[in-house]
Amino acid sequence: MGFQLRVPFRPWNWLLLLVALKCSRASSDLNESTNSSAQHDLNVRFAAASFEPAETISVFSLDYDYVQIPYEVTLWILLASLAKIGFHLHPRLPSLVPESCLLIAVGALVGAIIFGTDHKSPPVMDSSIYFLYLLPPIVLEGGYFMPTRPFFENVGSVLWWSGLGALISAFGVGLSLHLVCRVPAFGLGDVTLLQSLLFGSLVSAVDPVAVLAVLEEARVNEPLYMMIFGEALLNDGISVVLYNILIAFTKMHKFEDIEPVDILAGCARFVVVGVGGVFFGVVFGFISAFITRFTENISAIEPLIVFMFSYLSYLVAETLYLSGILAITACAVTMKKYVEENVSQKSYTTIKYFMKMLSSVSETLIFIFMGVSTVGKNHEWNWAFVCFTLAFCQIWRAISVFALFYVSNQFRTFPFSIKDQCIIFYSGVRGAGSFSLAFLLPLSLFPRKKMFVTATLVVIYFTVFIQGITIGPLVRYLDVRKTNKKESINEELHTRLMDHLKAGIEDVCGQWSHYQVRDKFKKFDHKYLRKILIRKNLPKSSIVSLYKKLEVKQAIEMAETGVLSSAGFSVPRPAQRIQETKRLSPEDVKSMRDILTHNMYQVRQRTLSYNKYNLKPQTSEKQAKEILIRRQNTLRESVRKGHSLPWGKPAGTKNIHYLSFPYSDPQPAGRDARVADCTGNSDSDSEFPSSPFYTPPRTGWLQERRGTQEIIPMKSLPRGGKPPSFGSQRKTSRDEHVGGGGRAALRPKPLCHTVHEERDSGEDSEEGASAGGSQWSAEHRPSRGHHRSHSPLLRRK
Amino acid sequence: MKSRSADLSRVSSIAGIPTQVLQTQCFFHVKQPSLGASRLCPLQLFWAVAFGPGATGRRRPGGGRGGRRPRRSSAMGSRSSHAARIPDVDSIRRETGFSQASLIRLYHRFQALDRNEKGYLSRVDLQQIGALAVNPLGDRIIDSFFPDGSLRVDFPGFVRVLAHFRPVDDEDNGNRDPKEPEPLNSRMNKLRFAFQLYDLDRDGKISRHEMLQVLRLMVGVQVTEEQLESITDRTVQEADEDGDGAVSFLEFTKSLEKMNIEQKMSIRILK
Repeated sequence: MGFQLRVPFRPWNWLLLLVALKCSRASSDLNESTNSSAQHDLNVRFAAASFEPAETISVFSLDYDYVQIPYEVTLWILLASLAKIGFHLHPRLPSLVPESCLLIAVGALVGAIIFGTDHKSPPVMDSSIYFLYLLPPIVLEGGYFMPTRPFFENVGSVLWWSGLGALISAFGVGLSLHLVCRVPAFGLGDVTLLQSLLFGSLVSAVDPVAVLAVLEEARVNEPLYMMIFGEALLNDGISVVLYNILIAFTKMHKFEDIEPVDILAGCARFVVVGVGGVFFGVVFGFISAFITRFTENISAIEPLIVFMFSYLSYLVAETLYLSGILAITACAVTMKKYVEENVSQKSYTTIKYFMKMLSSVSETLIFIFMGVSTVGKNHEWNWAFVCFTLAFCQIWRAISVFALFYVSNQFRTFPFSIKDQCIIFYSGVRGAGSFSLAFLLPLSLFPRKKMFVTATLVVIYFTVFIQGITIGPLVRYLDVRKTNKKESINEELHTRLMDHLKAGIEDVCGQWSHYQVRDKFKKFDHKYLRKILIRKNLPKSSIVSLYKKLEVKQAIEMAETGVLSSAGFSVPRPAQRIQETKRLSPEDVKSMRDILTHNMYQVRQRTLSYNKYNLKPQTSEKQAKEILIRRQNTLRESVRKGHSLPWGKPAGTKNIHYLSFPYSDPQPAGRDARVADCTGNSDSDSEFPSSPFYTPPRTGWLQERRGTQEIIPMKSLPRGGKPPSFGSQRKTSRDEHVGGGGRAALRPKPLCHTVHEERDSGEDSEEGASAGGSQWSAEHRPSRGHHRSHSPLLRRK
Repeated sequence: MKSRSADLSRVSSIAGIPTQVLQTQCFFHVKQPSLGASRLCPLQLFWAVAFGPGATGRRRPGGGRGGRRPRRSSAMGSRSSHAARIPDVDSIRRETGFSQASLIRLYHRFQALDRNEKGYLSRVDLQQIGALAVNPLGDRIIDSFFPDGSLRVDFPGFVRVLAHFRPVDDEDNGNRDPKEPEPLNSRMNKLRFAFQLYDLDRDGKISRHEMLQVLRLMVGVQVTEEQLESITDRTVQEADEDGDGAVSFLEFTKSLEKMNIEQKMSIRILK
């Protein structure tokens, strides 16, 4: 696709540069020249336009050629986006068909249009565009959204499988195709060993992430999920490294013979390229994490830092002939954790969306190129080659899956079942990567490139469409528990309860892998890395960082509107009510069941559901927030009653903020007294007495509360051992709560109310988890600190 | 391979060592000569490094006795992985049916949860588990570890609760002594465990009130109180056969008789 095609492509290239990747200056010489030639191209154009002898000034003129490339690219992307919208409007389609099917279909459509209208050949990607602009965003996105914890828990198996799996199937396919090519009847005699190896390496670059969205519904288990994800993540890198090395060999082979020493060098290089890439990635990851530490006042550049440094790691690695893909992956994985804690909430969102956007643009473009090159005349169909390729791809994938997992299962606590292995085998969907690599084969070295491209396309279409669509049913078929249909509300409810119970017990049991390694890293992380890389004064525990990400405002609104009157223990209605509900129509029952199904909390998923093409609204986060707020409310209330222990207060934690608050508040005693009164009376909540001499109960109460943290169990009271008075108190206070979600109901006694809130928020911040309370806690902190300092707790420490 | 494992199980039954431990050791000692020592060593090292000690969990209990012990114990620090450190390990095993490997893992977990090495867990220790905080039933699950209002749970108690979630294996049912009490992971016990999450006052019945409380915990805020009430009514009514307005344990099991409780209430990792 000679130079003529590449030249018009420059402006678009330049545009993309401007939009996304500003730092290409620092990149390789090639890039520099690309850039300048683009500039040059533009300049020439402008010059030509201005020096044309202008006879008359035309009122309207059309200059399509000027905008053609960016114009068409924009239209493609828009078309793909619209197709995606349509795709997701359908209720069930997205869970049945992988989205890459859609993209490929759109690509084929565009290709057909271009072919049918005999349009001037569209711009085609070349090697530098692919490797410098299209590939990095895709890889970066994968690395950034990788679930870190499960990945490192299964890191051994993931590396073992994705590394060796790619190698085995690459060499397997390559060598067996070479054997096939030796059969004279197929007319493939001119395909050399190196060429078939290279073809093997590119055709075994799988992209199983595309099917994860389909698998998600089937709830595959976590290690399996990680295997698929990890393969997608690392496979690209390995295939590309292999590809590049083999290309180098092929080039060399043109002039001289390959000696064994070269092969050894190639192997060594493979290792160096991989390890070096990872090394640079980690270094750049730390640097960017460190830099985001100081961006507090200029948060707008936070996303920029993230993107530029990831890209820089890619470019630096490529400059040194290391694997840029592994570098950018490692960079994303390294920095993610620290960057997320450093940057502001908005930057965090921006980073996520921008990353998704870039990668989906890249992928859309690749799929459109694929569609364009599918429909056309440049194919060479060789039945034998295509069929054998398809067969060998499957066979060698099966061999590598079953062999490698047989070995790694010997070492795993929880081996992968045959079922899991079948799913992994079946998820070997080829994607944009294989096509691009095939497409970029240099024609000079590969006279039969067309045949390779055709075979690759067949493999891609086969795997994406046939395997991609059938994998969902297959998983469901293998997974028998999905089959039984729930009939009664009871079953619905109990099932969900059991799921939650199971999830909870699983959490209690913890994950059982990598204790020591992870503990060591955690220690190191806490001791050094976090101190260096993360801004000061940030909350530590993960639940706190969850909170940080929750939107405080919404939480408060929810609490205020009283939707969360979780505590509303209504008095059981008279029996006639039950009579009344006896005549429920089946439709009502059905609608009830639907309400339950849709509104019961989902069981938390260990693995964050990842979707390559979309950022899901974080339902789990929202749900977590809701649960936490409700729990806060219940706590607040129980604290108000003063006979329950607050949740989550670590027994051995030092309460530093007790000491750090100002000690000289002007009116502490009064406040304390009022608090005490409120505490004392909130249960009966009749009037608001303002006797300021009511301090003893307050401190006593606090003391008792402190004491109870360790001793009195939260639920000892409903268990039957409760004093009778508590029961009535409980009831009344619940009623009060029902009355207006806490705040509204308390309006008539504002002072008491504020103090209440204040104390509550104190409670919140103690727990290090103050979604609902943090806003008002900010205002009241000093005084709270004060009355805290008054309390006898201080001495307890 | 088959005959070897048969041998192993015989040996294990004689020596009282779990088959797994033997197997893992044999894996190294038996296979080593056949593979050649010079090649195995790096391989072994690779596994140790790449898969980490945790991922090699099957070997891990054996590691305490096997050749790799020094490295292991230094990594463990004071927390030895040796089963002998667990008090009453045999009686616990008999009662719960856990394998020794699982018990050791659970013991580590227990120690990890026990923040200040008290030797028991308090509610606060369990409340520290972040994921439980966002579990709508988190508090109730924690409470189930503290039966009858006790304040602490020791290791046997901890394991006893978890034993309800051990997967049911076939041999358990086959050769179980009918005189022995039902194992903790039987269907009935699993159901009973779930039941007691509802039945807060321990009267053997889920009253309408208790049902409503659970629903309130589990249903999102979009559902109005009225809807919840009527759902509760319906739920109780549906299961209630004797018309006392509450769900007894018998009725509870009946409403779930079609469900595969054995699978629903089993956790894969609790072998």
